[in-house]
Amino acid sequence: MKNRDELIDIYGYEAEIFKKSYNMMGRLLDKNFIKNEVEKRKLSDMYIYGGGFLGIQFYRAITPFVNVLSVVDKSGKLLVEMDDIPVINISDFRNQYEDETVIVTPLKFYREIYHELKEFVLNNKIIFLEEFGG
Amino acid sequence: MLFYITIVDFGALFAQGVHRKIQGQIKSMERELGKAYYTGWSYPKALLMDGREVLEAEPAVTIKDFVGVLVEWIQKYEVTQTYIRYSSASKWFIDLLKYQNMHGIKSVLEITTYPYDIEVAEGIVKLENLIFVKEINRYIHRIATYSSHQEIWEQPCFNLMNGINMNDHPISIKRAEDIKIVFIAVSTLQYWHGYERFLEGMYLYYKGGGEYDLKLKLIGDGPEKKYYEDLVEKYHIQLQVEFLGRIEISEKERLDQQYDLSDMAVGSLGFYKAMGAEEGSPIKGSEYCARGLPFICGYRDLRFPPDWEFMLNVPNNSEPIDMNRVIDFYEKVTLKENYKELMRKYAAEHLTWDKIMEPVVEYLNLDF
Repeated sequence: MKNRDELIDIYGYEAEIFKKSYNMMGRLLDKNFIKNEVEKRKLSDMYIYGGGFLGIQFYRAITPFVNVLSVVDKSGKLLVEMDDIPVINISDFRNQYEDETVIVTPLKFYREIYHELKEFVLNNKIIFLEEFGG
Repeated sequence: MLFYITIVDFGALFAQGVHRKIQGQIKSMERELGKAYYTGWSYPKALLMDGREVLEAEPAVTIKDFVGVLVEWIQKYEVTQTYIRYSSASKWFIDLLKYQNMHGIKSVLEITTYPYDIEVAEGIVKLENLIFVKEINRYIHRIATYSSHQEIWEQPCFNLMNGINMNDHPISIKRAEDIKIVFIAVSTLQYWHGYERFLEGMYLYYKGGGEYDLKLKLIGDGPEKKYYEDLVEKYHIQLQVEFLGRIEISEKERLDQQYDLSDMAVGSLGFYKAMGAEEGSPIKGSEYCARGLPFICGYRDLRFPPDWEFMLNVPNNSEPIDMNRVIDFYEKVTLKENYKELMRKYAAEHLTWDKIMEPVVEYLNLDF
């Protein structure tokens, strides 16, 4: 049995992550929100990092406005199989990457992904989905 | 190395003008303690700053992430002292304090508003606060506060006041005119400013046949603006009251100009509406003092002696301001030819951040 602090560390943290992910899911339903962000950030060809629920939803929301080259996921696949969404793993991404913007979606792994991407993606090309609306 | 730690969004700090206050505190600590950096959140990134320069930026989506990043920076920069601007207690905030304690890092916790209203917090934040606030005094042994409490959470307090940088507030060049007083009030027009008391006072003064030409310059924007505009119309004092709107920090010269056209300043008159507060040290009182503008306020200002000759204390209630009393006060003050210089001298000796932070710096400078 874990003690009080260990339980709070796990569930308090997860609650914050889930709450923020859920709020972002909701915001992605607003077409104007997406359109405004695309215009504000002058987004064109881009990649989406993360093949989880948020990455898939984000792909659906943003494809009417910009060209998403592919979703990138460590595992090379999406959490839910979708035939119409291209997905590649990190080493393929590294090979084909050519200075496009990368939007990072999994809140829980922002730091890890940021440090991985920093090796070959310029800082100003890495955008965290939570920056949308900021 | 010292870190000034804030765990709130920089956007909020800048919007409230708190950034300048933090800079003032940092500079005063740097003089005695050496280089100091400060941290904050530009969500979703934690930032380490040196003045306006970003030294480090790391993603931090949750408070747990933020504290994790912070501890890494504390190690990297070999931090030996911290000054923490408290926002709320949580398991991870306590983790930070524990870490400091274990590694011999000396720390002062600043509680900006005390007693704070726990009911303002919601949901999980409120729950965390209730659980973890009780643990703070295990790891923090000095608290800085703007209230007059000698002890908070069983720990001794440094009683701070809002300080200023004298260079930012030049002395006003305006000299007194016959039967005319120009008042200036610079604020974010919140309910606790209570300017309706002043407007009603002007109305009653003229209704009673008052002969002084009284002008009020209201600078700033905020939720009460419309209310004040409506009152000005209702009282038919449009020629007496000027709404100048918000003046940005970057437009400092414009603000200086307005001060140079003013004789007296108006501080908060509605403290009684803010949970019945009686005392405080809002930043504006110091600024008015540095500029040599006598001022009126409706609270007990802890930075000045009671019955200080250049500050008119009015009752802390909803009654209209008695403008005859204000005029008498002004006439008496202006009999002293060098009153502006005396006010400025007082500000330099008592109200600068160097002076105010002195006990905190001494404490942080002492060996354990």
